[in-house]
Amino acid sequence: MMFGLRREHYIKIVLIILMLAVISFTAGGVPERYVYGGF
Amino acid sequence: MAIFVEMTFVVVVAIAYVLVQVPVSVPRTTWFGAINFCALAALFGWHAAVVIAAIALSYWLVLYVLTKVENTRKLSTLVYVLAFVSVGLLFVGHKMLLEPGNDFASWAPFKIVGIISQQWPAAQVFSLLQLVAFSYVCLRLIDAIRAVGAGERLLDPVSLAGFLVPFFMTPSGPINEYEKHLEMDKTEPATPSAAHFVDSIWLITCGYFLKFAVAQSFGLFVHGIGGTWPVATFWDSAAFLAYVFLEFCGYSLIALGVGNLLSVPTPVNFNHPYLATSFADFWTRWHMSLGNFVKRTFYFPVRVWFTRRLKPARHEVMKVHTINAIALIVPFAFVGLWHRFTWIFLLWGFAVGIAVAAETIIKDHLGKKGLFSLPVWVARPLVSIYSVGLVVLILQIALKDFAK
Repeated sequence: MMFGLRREHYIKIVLIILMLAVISFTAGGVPERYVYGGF
Repeated sequence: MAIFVEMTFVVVVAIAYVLVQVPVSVPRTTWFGAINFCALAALFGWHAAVVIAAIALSYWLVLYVLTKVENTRKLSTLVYVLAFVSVGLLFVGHKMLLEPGNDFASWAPFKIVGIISQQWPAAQVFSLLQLVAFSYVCLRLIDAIRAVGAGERLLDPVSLAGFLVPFFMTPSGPINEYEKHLEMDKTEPATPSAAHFVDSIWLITCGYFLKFAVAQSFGLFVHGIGGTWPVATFWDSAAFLAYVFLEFCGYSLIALGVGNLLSVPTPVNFNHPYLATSFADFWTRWHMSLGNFVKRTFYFPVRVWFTRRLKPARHEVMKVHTINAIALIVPFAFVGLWHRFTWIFLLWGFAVGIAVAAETIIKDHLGKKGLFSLPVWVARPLVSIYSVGLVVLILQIALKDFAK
């Protein structure tokens, strides 16, 4: 595998991207109503 | 707590990650100490960094004296006790400024410390120290005094500052251990690799996700926008415990991931507390770094002190149980007061300590009679429900104050 990464690392990378996508809506002062409505 | 959402934090971590890899001729603890000092200055301003450096230098001098007088028993005991007392006074001063209307504010010694802490320059110093969660720094100071007093090597002042206030542990711990920090000098930093990087970023992202997506949403689900946490029922306590778990576990994972990235020893703070096998076991899985701290600082010394004094024989069961109960209640009472200077928190600490002690005694007696012989697959879930249930029940005592 590339860069010495195993399958578990690729799974982690995908999950990291997904989690970051969700966090981008909730962290850092985004209006709470967005979070409230979104979930 | 705000530094985790600042872009500066991400930049500082990235720069620190590169810098820790630079081969230098000084010990790793010193190199990290220097990087950490710059990180603190970037995150909290140079005033805060200077105050932290001054505290580290002062206590380095105290510890240096302690190492020099270790052969003179009376003198070393005096320095040892004075060092602990000074940390206690700093802690009280910090608390008096942080919680001015606390339940002990009217007591003469606390009042005097409170008045001093509100004067210039103490007030300015304490307000800067609040930025780096000084309650945690005090625990690390106690740990350093304990370890050096027990004969561990004394770090240099720069390394000591790196141990006392690691920039990524400032929002909410964990409480790192002095001996573990010393081990940095015996090992090389993890070789930079894509796998190590992904593993560390994974921990950090899981932490951010738990805190800023799961815990935040759960909080909003329970109390709505701008609402306060309901505190009336058992289920309010259960929901609050779950919320604190998600949030605190999130913070701890961020710190763990950054520690892993920078190859700085960072303790794990949570180990599946909801799978606890007893009420006592819950507290070995919840906020583990604080649990381990009180174990080595209070539980073992208190137990050894009373055992030496009372010299219980094997058949003197009551004596053994009493010693064990005191050794368990003292650390939990301390934990209660450490959280907040109120009678309610002290009562909560006592209640947890008494429950742990009672459970230990009951288990000891029932275990001998072989009453716990249910199949594991039945016993484990039941025991976990009982353990967490009891935690929630006792949490009711201080829920109103915890949820503020």
